[in-house]
Amino acid sequence: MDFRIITRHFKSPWFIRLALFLAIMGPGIITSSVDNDAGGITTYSLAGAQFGYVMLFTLIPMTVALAVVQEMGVRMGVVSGKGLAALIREKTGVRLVFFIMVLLLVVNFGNTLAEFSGIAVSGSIFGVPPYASLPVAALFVWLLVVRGNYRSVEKVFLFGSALYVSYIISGYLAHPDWKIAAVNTFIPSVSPDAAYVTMIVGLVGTTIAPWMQFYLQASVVEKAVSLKHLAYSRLDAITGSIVTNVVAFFIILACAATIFVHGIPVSNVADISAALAPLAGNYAAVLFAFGFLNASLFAASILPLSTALSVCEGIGFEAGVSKTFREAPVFYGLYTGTIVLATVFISLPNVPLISILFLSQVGNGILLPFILVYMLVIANDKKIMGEYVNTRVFNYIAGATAAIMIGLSILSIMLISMGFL
Amino acid sequence: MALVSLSEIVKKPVIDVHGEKVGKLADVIVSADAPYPKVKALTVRTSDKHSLTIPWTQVGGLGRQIPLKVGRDEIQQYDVQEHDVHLVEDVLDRQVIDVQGKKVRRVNDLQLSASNGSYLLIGVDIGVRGLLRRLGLEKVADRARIHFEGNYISWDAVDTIHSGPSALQLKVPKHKITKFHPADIADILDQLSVNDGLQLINSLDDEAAADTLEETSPERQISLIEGMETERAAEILEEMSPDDAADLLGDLPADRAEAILELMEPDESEDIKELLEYPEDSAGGIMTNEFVAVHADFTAQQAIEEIRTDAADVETIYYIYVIAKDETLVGVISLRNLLLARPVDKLSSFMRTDVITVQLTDDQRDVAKKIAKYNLLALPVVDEEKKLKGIVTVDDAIDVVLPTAWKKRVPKAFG
Repeated sequence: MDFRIITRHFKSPWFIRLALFLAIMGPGIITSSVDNDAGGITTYSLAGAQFGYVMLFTLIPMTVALAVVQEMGVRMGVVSGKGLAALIREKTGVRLVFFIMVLLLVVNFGNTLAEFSGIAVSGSIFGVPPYASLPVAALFVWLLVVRGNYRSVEKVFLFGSALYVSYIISGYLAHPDWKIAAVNTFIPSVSPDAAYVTMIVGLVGTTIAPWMQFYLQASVVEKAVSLKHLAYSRLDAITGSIVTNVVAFFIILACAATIFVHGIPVSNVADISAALAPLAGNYAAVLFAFGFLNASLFAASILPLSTALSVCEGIGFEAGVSKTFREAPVFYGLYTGTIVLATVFISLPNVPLISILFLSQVGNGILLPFILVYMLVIANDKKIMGEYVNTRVFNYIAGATAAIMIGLSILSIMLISMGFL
Repeated sequence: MALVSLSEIVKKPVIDVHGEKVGKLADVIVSADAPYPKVKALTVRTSDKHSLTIPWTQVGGLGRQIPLKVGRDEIQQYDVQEHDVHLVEDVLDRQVIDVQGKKVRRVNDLQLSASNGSYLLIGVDIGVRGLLRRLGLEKVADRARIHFEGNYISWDAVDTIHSGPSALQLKVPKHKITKFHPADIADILDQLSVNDGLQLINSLDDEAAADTLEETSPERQISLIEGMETERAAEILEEMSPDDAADLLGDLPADRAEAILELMEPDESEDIKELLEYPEDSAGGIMTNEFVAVHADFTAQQAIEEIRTDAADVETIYYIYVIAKDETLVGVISLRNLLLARPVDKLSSFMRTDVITVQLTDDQRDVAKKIAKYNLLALPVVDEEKKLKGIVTVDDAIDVVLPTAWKKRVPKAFG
């Protein structure tokens, strides 16, 4: 036998497995991290600040739900080698996919606005005015994708994911009551209070966004993960779901231990960062604001690209950063247009941002049932998935997850239209 | 000539000879054994949710209504043959390869043309107009005077690739794509799923497959090689240049790499194994060990004979390296000087002895810098005893500064 190949890279079998996992990980962890975007962090902080430790119990079921949906997404991507939009089109035809893509475009534009407003807000916390921070951020985002390749961009994104640790430190610095936190994580406390129900709906609503499923599957496909390494991709998806909710846990914790305990009224991340400084120290406040900037910038990098790629894939236009503007005008138009419009919109005075965010939330809610149902249909299609179709037990869990998510998104649309959210 | 779009007839009522509705058209079955496939049968969904497959001989035509030549009770069931393709299920909305444009396209609609009492599949609609028609917006756009040109490609200029656990295969050996330049095939490959790409690679001969693989991204190379039969992988790797093959094998799981090496020709696998000993980013890691080396006491005539017999497989013959009996590198001759020399001249009499070399363990960037500085096409790599081990060609040096994936995108995005 010849062992020289092994000596080139690896020393021992466990190390080989770790190296393989590190090579394949990325899509799952990145997608889950972006789940904690500007909107997500705002919701978690407000949950902690307004309701305290009692909101922690939502995290374990949310982790399970996210892991189930993400696992299905990477499995579909690895087995079929196709993106979600392409699969839906091949399964159901162009009409439905067109409808979904139009909704996705609108909803993702709303989400992108939220990220850019997050950049403006966190810039202001550090004393950088929006007219400076927004164009710089937009240019950074645009160049990152247009000049980078998948490998280099993924490294930047993985680095961005690692920066979420600032929230864990910030939560620790807030000196939370660990015993109360532990109890509330495992034992739910239910209250029929309208504001309380609204907050839970909001929390769950930020967990699984439609665009995440498109992005996750697309990046697994782009990475060309082979079927033999499906296990590593699944591990990546599940690890990501856990990590992202650990971060959420610390965000809630930081706000619960300080702002809620002292009963300070807050309504946005700037308030929270300002309130944290005297209570948990300047470091905690700076880390919190820095985490928010990172999260907003991170999601702003992914959303426009993911939108352009999904829409082009579903409708059949040339797409990808390896194409020229002339070869892929629709792709570049959508990509650049989203970034430029979002930047301009947020820079305008008196933008009805709140209404836009509500509308994009409603759009998310309308879109999510379609996505989850079609993911379930495709994941059960033997022609596409072969032997990798959902198992019966998995279908029960995934079906229940989808049912709950759909129920909650309908509830959230109702709450929004009644003016609660 | 009557032209029909598939989207115009799908879901339209199928009426029997007595004027009674049988059901709605669900699919059109064509036989793919000709350049323009002929319609063989129609699949009809009846109002009580049954599916009928009606042979074309019993159908009167295609249009907003589809008349049958027989009564409902006389319908025969058509037996689906091996080469038969369901247009709605297998072709519509899927990807095809546009042979002329050398691109992967998505099928928005299909065009059928009447011919000799039957219909032939003649074209694929890949344009916005076809898209609007599918969405039912064609008339709206016309009324709004927004005009989109139709964008069709002839079915003859289309390659289909289908894969998947139970997908139908178009068995016609069309695959004109196999005649493309490997870099073009690689571009198409990058747009296909791994499974479809695998099928494409499998339709290429070993040499074309090897050239194509060298042009795709490392991630995709690995997935494709891992998805192949070990024998086929070994055959393709034999055709690749040893340095690219070594890089690919180095990224595979060790047991798989061993298995492939076992199946390769011994002299090919020896070359690769030797390269695998060196770190990936060293001169040894990027060099190839296929080069021309001749002994110093040869005459020019003998050297040319030697090149003629041995040099078919080497990467470059523009430099002829001159070695002593113990394989130490003693000189270099350009092809031009060799041709210009008198046939009886000894190589040692006109070779250059101040050869620019690099060590096996030198950093690859230093190698690239040297090649750039001295304007070389290739640079010899020697070990501590000055023995010639391999050469780094200028294209591999470019890859150091500008990885393959970037070569394709950096100038283009702004071009």
